[in-house]
Amino acid sequence: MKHDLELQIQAWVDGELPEREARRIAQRVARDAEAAALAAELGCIRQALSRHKPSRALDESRQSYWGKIERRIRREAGVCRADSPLPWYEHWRKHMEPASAKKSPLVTPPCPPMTPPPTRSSAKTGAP
Amino acid sequence: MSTDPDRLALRDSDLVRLAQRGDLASFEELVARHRDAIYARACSMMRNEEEARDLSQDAWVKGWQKLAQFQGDSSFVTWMTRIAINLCLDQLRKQKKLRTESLDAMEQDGGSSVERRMPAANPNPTAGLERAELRERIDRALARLSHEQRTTLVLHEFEEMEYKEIATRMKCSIGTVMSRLFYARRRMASLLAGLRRKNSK
Repeated sequence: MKHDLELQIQAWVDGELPEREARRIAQRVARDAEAAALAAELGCIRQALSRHKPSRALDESRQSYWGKIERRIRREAGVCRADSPLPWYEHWRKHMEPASAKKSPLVTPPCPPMTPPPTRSSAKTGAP
Repeated sequence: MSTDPDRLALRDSDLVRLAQRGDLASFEELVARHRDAIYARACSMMRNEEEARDLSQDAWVKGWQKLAQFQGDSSFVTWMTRIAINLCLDQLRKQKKLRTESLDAMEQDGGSSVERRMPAANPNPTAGLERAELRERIDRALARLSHEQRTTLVLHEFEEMEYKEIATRMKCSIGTVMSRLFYARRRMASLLAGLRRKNSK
C-alpha cells in the first residue's frame, strides 16, 4: 500500500478528511481487506490511548510542592527579596491558622496582595 | 478571605475568580486539586520524573502570572495543561529532542520505515487486556517511542488537538505530523501486541 493512502486512511480514522475524500476512503476500506485492517488497527490504538491516559501521582507533599511555587510567585512578583525563604512569621501563621477562626492583626501577610499581573493579550482558550 | 475548609467546597471556577483577585490561597487549592494531572502530562512528554516535576511547577508559576487571561472558555485544568505542554515543548526543543526536519529525514529515523512496511496483522492489539494492565502497558510502550512520535501522539490522543494545531505547536508541517502520528501508532500497535504475546507464553 502506498504511504499516501496509509496517511489518508489515518486521516479518515481521525475525521480530518473533507467529506468527499472521506467517502472515497470509506469505499476503499469497505472493499480492501488490507486497508480495512490498517484502519481497524489505527482506530484501536486511538481509542485505547484516549481511554487510558497514563496517570501519575506526585510523591511530594502538598506543602513542599506548593512551597516552591509560592516562593517563586512571590519572588517573581518582586515583592520579597530574591532567594529569601518564607519569613518566620509566615511559618508561624501557617502553623496557627487551623487553631484560630479569626486572623489577628499580627498575621497580616508580609507582602502586598498577590494580584496576578495585568496582561496585554486577551487570549482566551489558546495556550498562553 | 475564606478559610481553607470553605475553599475545599468551592468549584474550580469560583477558586479561579478568587485567585484572579489576588487570593493566593485559592490558587493553592487549585494546585492541590490538579497537580497530579499536570505532572502526569509533563511525565508523558518528558519521560523524566524530576524534569516533569520541575516543569509542572514552572507551569503553575506561569499559570498564576497569566491568570488574568483565563476567561473560562475551557476548563481550568485544560488551560493549565496547555501551559505545561508549551513549557515541555520549549524544553524538548532546547534539549534538541524535537526536530523540525523534513519528512525525508524522518524516514531515515531508525525503525520508522519498518513499522510502515509491517502488515496490519493486529487490528485489535489491545484485546484481552485488563484496564489497569493496558494503562501500564501503554505507558511503557510510550516510553519506547522517539520524542517526536510520543509528543505528536500525546497532543493528538490525550489533548485531542487537530493536525493543524499540532503542526503549529511543534513547528513542523501537517505532513510531518501525519507521518509521525502514523509511525507512532504503528509502533504502539506492534509494542502492545508484542507485550501481549510475551505475556501469554
